[in-house]
Amino acid sequence: MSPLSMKETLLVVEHCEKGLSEWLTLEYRHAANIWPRHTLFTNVKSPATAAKLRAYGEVTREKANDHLAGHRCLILDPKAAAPLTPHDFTGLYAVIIGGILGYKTPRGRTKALISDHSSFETRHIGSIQLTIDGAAFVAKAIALGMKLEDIEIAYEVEITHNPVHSTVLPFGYPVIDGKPIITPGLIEYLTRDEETKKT
Amino acid sequence: MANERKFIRENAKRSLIKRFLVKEIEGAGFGGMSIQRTPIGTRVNILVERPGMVIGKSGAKIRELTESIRVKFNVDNPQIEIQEAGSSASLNAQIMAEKLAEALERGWHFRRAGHSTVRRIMQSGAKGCQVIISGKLTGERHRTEKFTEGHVKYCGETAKQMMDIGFAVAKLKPGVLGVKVRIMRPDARMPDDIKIIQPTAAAAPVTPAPAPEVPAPVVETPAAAETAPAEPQPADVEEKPPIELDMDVEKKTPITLITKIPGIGPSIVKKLEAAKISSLEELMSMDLDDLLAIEGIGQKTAENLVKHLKRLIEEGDVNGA
Repeated sequence: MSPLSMKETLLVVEHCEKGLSEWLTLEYRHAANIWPRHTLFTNVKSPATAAKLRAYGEVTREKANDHLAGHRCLILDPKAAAPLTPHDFTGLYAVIIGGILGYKTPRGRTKALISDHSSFETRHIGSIQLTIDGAAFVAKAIALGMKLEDIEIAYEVEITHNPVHSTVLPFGYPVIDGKPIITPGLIEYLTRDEETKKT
Repeated sequence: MANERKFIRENAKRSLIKRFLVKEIEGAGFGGMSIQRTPIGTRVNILVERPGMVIGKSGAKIRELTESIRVKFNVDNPQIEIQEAGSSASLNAQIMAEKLAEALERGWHFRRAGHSTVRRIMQSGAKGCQVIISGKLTGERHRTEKFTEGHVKYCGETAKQMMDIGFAVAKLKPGVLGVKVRIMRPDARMPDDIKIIQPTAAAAPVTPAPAPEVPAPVVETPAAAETAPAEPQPADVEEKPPIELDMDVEKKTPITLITKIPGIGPSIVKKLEAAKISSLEELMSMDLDDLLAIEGIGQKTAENLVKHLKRLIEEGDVNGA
């Protein structure tokens, strides 16, 4: 995979949630940082949400299927039959991921909301449900030539706030040098209430 | 093979009856049940926090439950016996899970509810406890919040013997939250907890010998303690007798009585009623933190209530309220 073709590939995040919560914003921001200047947010109906997301990438009201019609795109869908490989990025215009905050047991919303209404091909990036930025990270690593099976994923990361209280995140996070890549700002966000309560 | 099938069938029936009872006596603080076959029928023992809600007016509710169990589950001559959890309610995982779910439904913040539950359980003398709340807690991603204190065992024989596990569901607008409570009982004894009993004077030889052998200390392990004959229990720890079916409905002192407390007006009553607190007894079971968690109740009001509640209940008894 040449770096040039990777640069041309666009990361498309199809916004599927009703609003733009703080947690979602953090994940969008991190995903945009992983694919700098090559991020597009689609299906953003609310002008207020669009205004916020313009800080991280391009924004459109249209769905990815309409906006990217005629281009070769891939949807990252856990229900897809084939895995994502570095070869898929040759001549690829965009890789589409769902802007969805999931449940512990995946409900197949990417398929229901995106894949089923689209003519694009689908690929999966493993059996573990990843976060939005986690999926963007794995997609970029594969685009750079890594194999899916070589990417280590940590599942059910536990964040300890104090000796009594901890939070378990039932999602996959890519691991680099033995440490999971947690969304920047997420731990502070999860701990904030705890600190507010103490003061 | 027939026996195995029978066991499975009986256990499935037991699970269905439990689920039915949890649903039917929601709000009464279901703490568990057991089914015993007797020569004259089937005895269903139910442990609850508020027996009055299960018995109903003149025993109407319990009669209805008995009939439903007989018809729906084909149970032979069922007899329901109610046991009040009483002071042990804080050590019953199922009751605490139900209480926590109720608190979440009333709008408590999950952190406050979790910490408060752990504190209450530990104050009751538990060796350890864990509270798990999971779901879309703030309407975003699913997450699991864990509150753990003291010893908690997760698997193996130790967990089976010493841990009490309760589960409840809180139905909120953004979705359903699962609540799980694990409690290690105060009398739980770890397998590695070995107590060396020193020899007593009575055990020593009566006639002094020139070089008497020191009797070896007795090592008592939990397993040895289990096999030892049971000692007679003191009267104050005897199990409470089950409540008779024809008992009166649980007594409740109206919440409106709190207006007798100086500085407490009808607006406070309304706020308490909005938080689904309808009697002085319920109010009495709440500590300062619980009261502060109710919307509109400030520090002064909460302290004032805690200070005067006991006296008010006594007055209520005298007046026959």
